[in-house]
Amino acid sequence: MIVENIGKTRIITPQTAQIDVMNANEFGSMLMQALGEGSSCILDLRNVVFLDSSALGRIVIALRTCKTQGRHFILCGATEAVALLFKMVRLSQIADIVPDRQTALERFQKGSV
Amino acid sequence: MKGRDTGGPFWSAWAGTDREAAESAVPSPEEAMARDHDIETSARIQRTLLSGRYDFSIPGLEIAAETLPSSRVDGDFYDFFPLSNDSLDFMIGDVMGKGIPAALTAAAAKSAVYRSLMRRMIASGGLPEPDDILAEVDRVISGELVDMGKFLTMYYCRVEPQKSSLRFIDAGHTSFLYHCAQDKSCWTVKGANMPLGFTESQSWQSFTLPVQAGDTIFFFSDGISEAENAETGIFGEERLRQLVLAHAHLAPEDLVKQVLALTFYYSEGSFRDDVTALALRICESGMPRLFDRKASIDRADNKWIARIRSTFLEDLETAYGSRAEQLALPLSLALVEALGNLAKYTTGSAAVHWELQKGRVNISLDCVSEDFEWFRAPQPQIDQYPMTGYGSWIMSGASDSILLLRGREKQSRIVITKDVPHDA
Repeated sequence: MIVENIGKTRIITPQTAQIDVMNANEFGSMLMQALGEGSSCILDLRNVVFLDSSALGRIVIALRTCKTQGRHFILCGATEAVALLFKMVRLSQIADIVPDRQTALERFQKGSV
Repeated sequence: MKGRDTGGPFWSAWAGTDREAAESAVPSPEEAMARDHDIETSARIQRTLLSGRYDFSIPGLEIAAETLPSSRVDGDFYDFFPLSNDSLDFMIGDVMGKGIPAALTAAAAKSAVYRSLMRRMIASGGLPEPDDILAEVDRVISGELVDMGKFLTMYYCRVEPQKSSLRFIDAGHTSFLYHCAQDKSCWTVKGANMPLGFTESQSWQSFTLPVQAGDTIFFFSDGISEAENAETGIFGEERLRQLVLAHAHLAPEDLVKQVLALTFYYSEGSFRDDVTALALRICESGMPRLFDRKASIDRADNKWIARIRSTFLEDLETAYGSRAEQLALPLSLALVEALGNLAKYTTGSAAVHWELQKGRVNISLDCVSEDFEWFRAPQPQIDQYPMTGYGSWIMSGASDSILLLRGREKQSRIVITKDVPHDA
């Protein structure tokens, strides 16, 4: 998982191609650690080809944490299978989902989130 | 002569009551005979005019059915609808209670099915969806049943040997049994819906059971599974599963007779409830199989789910070419969720098997598990930010049908199916 800071925005990019019940705990712990404190976050899923409901649960917990802390959290880079999963559970009701990292950064720069 | 001999101790018990009214409540011999005649006529009408007939033939299918009322008229019912040359629709049901009220309710339910079938076939010119038929029957009769405090259970099914499928929708009826000829296993299959008359409306879920030549399907009413013996208690579904497993080689007609005879013997010559048995044998199945793979699960490998998904996707491409893509996304979601449940909730040996047929993908997972809710999960309340509860919803949404079959002890088989679009 790569963690970068661009300005006040933290960008988290998991490197695992498939996140499922076998590695979801590890993913969840790394994600919570990477969130850190204080800044807005982008979770860039461009390298994740597939994730299942257990990985989704960890993302939802990260979203909840940021919401509680008043931080913005944007999801981007969802591949086809990941986008379908998000659509099925209507994740867009609680998360900003944009196509790519650039769009996510622009959102923060424009202050539209 | 009206009434009976009014003297003696019989009437002393009625002291203080209206003697005339009490007298009129007791049937005269003529009234009793007339009532007896009515019941006899009702029984005959039910046996002849209201009972299902199967004087037709569907290629690749053998059927048999029998019902025995505990009273002279009963609330069990079944019927067959050969609506096309290569498919058979049928229903089997059971009304709460016995006697003429139950028989009339059964006749009303059957009539509601006929009307729905006819209306929909005239409107569409094709075969109506089983879900739509049962949903319409529900709308027509459930409100009245709720008011009367009655309910009924039933299956509406469509068996299509050429498509190697049994589609069914249940309304809370007791399980049915499926004997798989390929591995000589026998499974208890149960739907997920509530009986008609429990609520005024419900959302209906239908299922697909893939079938092959040689397979046997055995439907029954709870009069059979609950046949009682004073010493050993009720017969039970597990004994019935074993009985069908042991006699699955018989022709459907002989299987039905054998089960009725043995359960009658078990209940010491007296069924306490109506009993109905209906058996189907798939003699030919016509869905071409493009690819077939059985993969065992190596729990020691922490990437086993990813490896199975990868192999599955390769096989989809082999079977369906570039058009596999439209199946790959939803089916890999369903497969990985099912495998994730295996990893979380089961132990011991497990195996996954997929059959890629021309018109349908069938995925079966065999494992040892406790009773587990594999389907009918409510939609997750995403605005509550739940960490869990998505898996079953995703599996249901990504497939056409998910069935849980229960076998010996805690053996389970999860069957996921999805139809292949015509252009794939």
